[in-house]
Amino acid sequence: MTSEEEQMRAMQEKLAQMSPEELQAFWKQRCVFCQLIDGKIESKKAYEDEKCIGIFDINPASPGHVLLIPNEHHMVGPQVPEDIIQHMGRVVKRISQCMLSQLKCKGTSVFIANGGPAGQQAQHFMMHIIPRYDEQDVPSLSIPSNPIDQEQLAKVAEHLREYNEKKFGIKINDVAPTPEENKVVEEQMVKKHIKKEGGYLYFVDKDGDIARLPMKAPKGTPQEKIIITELGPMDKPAKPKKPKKKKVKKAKKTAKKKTKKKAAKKKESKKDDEEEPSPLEEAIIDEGETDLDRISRLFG
Amino acid sequence: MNIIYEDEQCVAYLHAAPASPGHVVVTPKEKYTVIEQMPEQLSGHLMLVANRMAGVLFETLGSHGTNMLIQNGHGAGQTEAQVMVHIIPRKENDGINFFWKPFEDKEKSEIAMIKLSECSTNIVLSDKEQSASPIEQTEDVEKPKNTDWIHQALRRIP
Repeated sequence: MTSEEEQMRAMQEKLAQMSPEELQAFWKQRCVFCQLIDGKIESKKAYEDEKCIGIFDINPASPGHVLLIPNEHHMVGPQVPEDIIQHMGRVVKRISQCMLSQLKCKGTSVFIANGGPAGQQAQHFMMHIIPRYDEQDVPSLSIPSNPIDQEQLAKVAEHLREYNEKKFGIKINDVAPTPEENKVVEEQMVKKHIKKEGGYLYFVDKDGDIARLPMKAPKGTPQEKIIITELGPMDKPAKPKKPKKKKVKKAKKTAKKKTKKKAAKKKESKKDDEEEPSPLEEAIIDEGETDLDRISRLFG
Repeated sequence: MNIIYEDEQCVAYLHAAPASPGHVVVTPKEKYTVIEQMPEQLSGHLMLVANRMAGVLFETLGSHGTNMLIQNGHGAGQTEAQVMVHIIPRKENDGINFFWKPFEDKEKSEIAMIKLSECSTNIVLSDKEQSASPIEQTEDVEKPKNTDWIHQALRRIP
């Protein structure tokens, strides 16, 4: 037996005798990423705050690949305290936003591996944020799809539902919506309209399409929704180029209008606390780029 | 619908055509096509629920590991116009492989790093959303149901 093998065996025995707490401390000591956070190993940082850091992967899947790592040592996601996970989720959004604006990529993949069988290589929990320049640049990050016995699936769901209701103290409603409920939803979406123009209300409907409704319909005729851009089923054949250009122009126009509106709204909101901008509009305030712009870039 | 988790902001359900048995999808109840549209607070909450579900898969289905994947944008292989967090339970040698080949052009990587860090190092999370505390459902269990509409958005056949 060589000395290396002896060392391995000694190590295995040592590990087998340790308590979970000792194991955690043991791995923390040897963890490359903890040393990196402490500054013992050099790295290129993309982001840093009191709870987590973002570093550039030394073996990136694509240019600009960022690893988001909690400062505390945790092995897998479920061990990480909830406030840290939440914090990281918010940072992920912002980094992904930066990627879209700075790298002009066509999308981002957020990937997490928990545990060895899932492909985790380091002993430290991390989120990968990978800019995607086209669908084929990281082909392995696609989700396979297999047929499954639906009855069995329903049984598993039932089991998990009961488990979650107990664990999180929630009630879960597993009923499909009625047409009336769908109508209510559509009305809500109309209330959150994107803009008013030329007697029409523009809004995102429940299928994710941008549609418009006449603000005042002639008496006796039902209001008819007209769908302008379909974002729904995405595997439809690409639209011809000319209308696309128009779409971008429109979006730019709306962007200008919106910023004006927002400025007005900000003033109003000081007086009226009730009239806060909707989340959709808030997302626009952050960026200066409108949803329409972004969507047309991401899916156009 | 096979919904397994629900709160005010998001739902989780079992995928009807899973990558592996127990494949869970977490999605916000409101309609958002990409992460960038979501408010910061929701993005954090979605990740929290996804992480909870990963824990549940460890506990109930005895998975040996889990993968979490968000396909954000068409370029990332997104097929439905709704933000979805996929949680895929894994077992040893189950035939699924998410490994990627390292990108080799170092010069391009370097340029991307410089460009990105210009923006990402200046991120300041908004304070307003920071104050929003994590949601504990235990107290307000009985609330009027008005959110079933998500079911439609959940299962859109392309």
